[in-house]
Amino acid sequence: MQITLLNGALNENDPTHAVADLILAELDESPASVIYYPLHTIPIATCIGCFECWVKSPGECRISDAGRDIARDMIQSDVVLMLSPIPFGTYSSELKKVLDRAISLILPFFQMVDGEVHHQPRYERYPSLIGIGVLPTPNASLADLFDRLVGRHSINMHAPSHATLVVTLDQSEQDQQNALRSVLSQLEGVK
Amino acid sequence: MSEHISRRAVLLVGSAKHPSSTSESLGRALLERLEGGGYRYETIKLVRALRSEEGTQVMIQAVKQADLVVFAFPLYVDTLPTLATKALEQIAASRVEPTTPPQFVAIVNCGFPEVEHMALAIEVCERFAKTTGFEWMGALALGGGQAVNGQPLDELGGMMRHAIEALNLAAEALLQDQAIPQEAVDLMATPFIPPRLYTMMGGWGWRRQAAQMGTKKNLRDRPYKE
Ligand SMILES: Cc1cc2nc3c(=O)[nH]c(=O)nc-3n(C[C@H](O)[C@H](O)[C@H](O)COP(=O)(O)O)c2cc1C
Repeated sequence: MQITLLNGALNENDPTHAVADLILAELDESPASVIYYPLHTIPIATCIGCFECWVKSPGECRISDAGRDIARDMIQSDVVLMLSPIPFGTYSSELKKVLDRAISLILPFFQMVDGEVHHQPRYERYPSLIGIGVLPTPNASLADLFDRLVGRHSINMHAPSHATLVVTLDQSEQDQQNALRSVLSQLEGVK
Repeated sequence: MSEHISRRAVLLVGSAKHPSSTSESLGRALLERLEGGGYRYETIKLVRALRSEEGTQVMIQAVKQADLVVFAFPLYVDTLPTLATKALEQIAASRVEPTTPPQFVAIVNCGFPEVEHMALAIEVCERFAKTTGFEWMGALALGGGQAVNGQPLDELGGMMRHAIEALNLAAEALLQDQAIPQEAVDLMATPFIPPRLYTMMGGWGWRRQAAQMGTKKNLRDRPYKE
């Protein structure tokens, strides 16, 4: 099993890093192979909305930087773990910079899903998406927004399954670890 | 309306498209209507402003001095695009609770015809406004935004008549310090073409662009297939 872990911490002081360390330690004990991206340390351009990845160089972003490599790793993985602070319920800008660049992984053409328009898949198989949000303290409405976001994102990204977990900074490390373990243990091949 | 004479508004454009975007067209159309009621406004394109620390500070200052912030952005992957997210993060990090909370309006547009896709992004903006010392005045969402494609909205007329009417109503309400009325939200949400026709035409559009670039046969390529 291959897992891509995207860490959307905003800077080096972001407490999200401590959660990343727990996840990495947990995955270290599993047979899964893990590709780890602490995104704020990697120069990645913002998507400019040109759609060249759909019409000019189908399947590949025109910007040649790590954004391309990460899109490749994402589609070649079984699971993409999206770890991020959740400002106002959404993904952090550091995480979002790679998610925006990853529309190269789907087709421009449309299909209907549950009565709504979405894009057709480009590939035969897609990774499952797991969103791990980090909040300072428990906040049910932000956690709910984040959960619904990962759900909708997984429709657009053709994820065969998805899950979310919100970790709070007032939890003990042991509680965080237990919560992470229960989400990660659902992944086949991690146990 | 004389009380609005000295009011300031700032339009934050969250689209990376240059030189023009649907976000900017919609934002401008709203602000032009407010100008008639006495607002002065400036436009800040986040794609330029957020490129440097200096530009980021200019954006933050403009927001601090504004009585009304209009936040116009496209939906990217079900939520706010990177630039718009970053702007909210930066504003929140520098925010000092003002005595009179400035008003905050969001204008979202997306590629798909249904406005439901944008509901989450609007909730994010509402959460931001309410927890960062702004007065939430509501949001307008337009599906099938590519049809505007950065053109001045009022010049498009016909097909965009619902959107134009929605902006008229929104501006009227804002000039009276009232939130955007549901009628405006509903008008903006009115599909200007049936979703199935939209998807068919969209498909042709992509093929036509590909034909021009000589990539028609490659549109379904899988460069990252193992
Ligand atoms: C990276 C990227 C992701 C997008 N994701 C979505 C999406 O999830 N749903 C949708 O309806 N449209 C999506 N779109 C389409 C844009 O919202 C649409 O083209 C919009 O009209 C662009 O507005 P602008 O001219 O203001 O940039 C996406 C476009 C890009 C470039």
